[in-house]
Amino acid sequence: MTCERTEEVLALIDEGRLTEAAHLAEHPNACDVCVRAITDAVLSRAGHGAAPAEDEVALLAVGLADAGERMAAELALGDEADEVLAAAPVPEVPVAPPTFDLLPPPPAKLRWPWLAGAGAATVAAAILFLVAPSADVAPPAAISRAPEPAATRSGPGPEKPVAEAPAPEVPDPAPPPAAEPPAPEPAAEKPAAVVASPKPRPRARRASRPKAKPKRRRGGDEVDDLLGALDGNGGGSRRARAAPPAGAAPALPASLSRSQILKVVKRSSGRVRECGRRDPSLVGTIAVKLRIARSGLVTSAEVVTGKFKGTPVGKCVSGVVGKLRFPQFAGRPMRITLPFGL
Amino acid sequence: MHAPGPLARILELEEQGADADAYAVALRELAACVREDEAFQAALADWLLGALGLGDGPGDAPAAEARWDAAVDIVADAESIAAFFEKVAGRLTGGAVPARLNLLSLLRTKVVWRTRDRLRRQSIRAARETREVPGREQAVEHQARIVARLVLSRVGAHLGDDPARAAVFERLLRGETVTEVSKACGVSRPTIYRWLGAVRAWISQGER
Repeated sequence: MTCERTEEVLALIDEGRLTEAAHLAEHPNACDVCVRAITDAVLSRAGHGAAPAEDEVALLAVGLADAGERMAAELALGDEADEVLAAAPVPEVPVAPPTFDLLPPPPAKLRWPWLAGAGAATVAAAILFLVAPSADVAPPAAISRAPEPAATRSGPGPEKPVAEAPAPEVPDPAPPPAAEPPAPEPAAEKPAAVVASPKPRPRARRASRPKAKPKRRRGGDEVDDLLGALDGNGGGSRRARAAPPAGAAPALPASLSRSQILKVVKRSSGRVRECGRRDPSLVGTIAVKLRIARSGLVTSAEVVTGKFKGTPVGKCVSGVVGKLRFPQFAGRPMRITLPFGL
Repeated sequence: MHAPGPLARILELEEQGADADAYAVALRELAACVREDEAFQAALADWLLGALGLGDGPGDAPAAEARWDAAVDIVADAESIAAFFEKVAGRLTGGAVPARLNLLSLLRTKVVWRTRDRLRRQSIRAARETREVPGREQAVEHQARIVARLVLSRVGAHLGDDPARAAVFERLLRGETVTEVSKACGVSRPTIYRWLGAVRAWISQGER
């Protein structure tokens, strides 16, 4: 298959010395491997055909891109995303904002205060139960009526943007008092239907977020007061102590979300582009395969695009990407392939 | 603008709000027609240019010209546009067609993105030419000539014996766009894309 020049031709291609490689490959006995490799390199440099990630960008515009395509499109689009995606004419009918098939789990910084709130709710409910006189046992019942407003709030339903439901109160550590009733609440499930309606795939995690929100209204101040008292004496009942303390280590997501990855990658895009300047004749999309450990450290970064392999540009890009630091996560190490436009 | 065969079917389905399966079938038919029927390909290009308001020709402004060229090139590359339609069809299974999806949206985004990419490439090339190392241009031509000769000697059997091909490949390998090559050599864009496709197929055979 190969000839005695193959190694040399491929090495020259890797170094970007295409004319010399072409001369070597021109030898009458040169193998097809040499000729194919040099043709591929020269055609790639000429850059015919589609723009980088063109199909992915088009799919993203109509909401059909999968997770990998979305990432490729967003990386290729960069600052031009709004203008290019706005080019797709959107039908007049009310349409959900561009949604993504694989919704990442809510980021820890949003989810955790809510969980802390839920934990605090348990504490508060326990204290109410233990401390309050019997006549005051009513408040939990009143709290449990809270789903009613939930129904009215999420009721307007499909045309109401999903994002509005969980919005501003999430970071508030004040607990939703009735968060812990285990029975499934039909009213609280409505938001799930709202979320799922524009998309075929249900999103259980997202749906669970609005559950507690409407219930926080009542007794929110009292619970705040109780929490304050609790913080003061540092104690509480056994049940209260069993609840996860608000200051505990935040729960880590099982894996990194697309937005978490993009955030880190975008920060390094300037350095990657600088790598590209090392050899202006090499243009195109360079794909780098990464392995990200739970700690968020990149444990391996390998260039997978043939024409960049072994080139100074490829080495520079894998060096930059290898130094990225992602947020920690709890699941198995992740393997992803990131495309960068040069 | 009158839409030909399978295209008319797709537009009709879009108007009716048809289900995803029917839309996917229509998209696959469209892909097959683009692959097999050059006349249909030309009709699709006409429809697209008309729908994008480019029916009167490329115009004089560089941006308008790039946009026109991008639209024509997207349709001229039969294999790649057909593969794209099939990819979209593959995403549609059951339920309704996503509200945002329509053929014009898909193609318009491709046109906009490719136009920007072309303008970017043009400006990079212009900048490079102004600070070009003397002799580099010649070197590139020389290299393109060698590689074109190599390619034709190895894949000639797939491409037929048209003498115009050598000139086309030389120009392509030199970095000229399909549009430029088409104008300079008087060979249609679909033909150039077909030749390029054959060369790429030959390259990828070696990778297997």
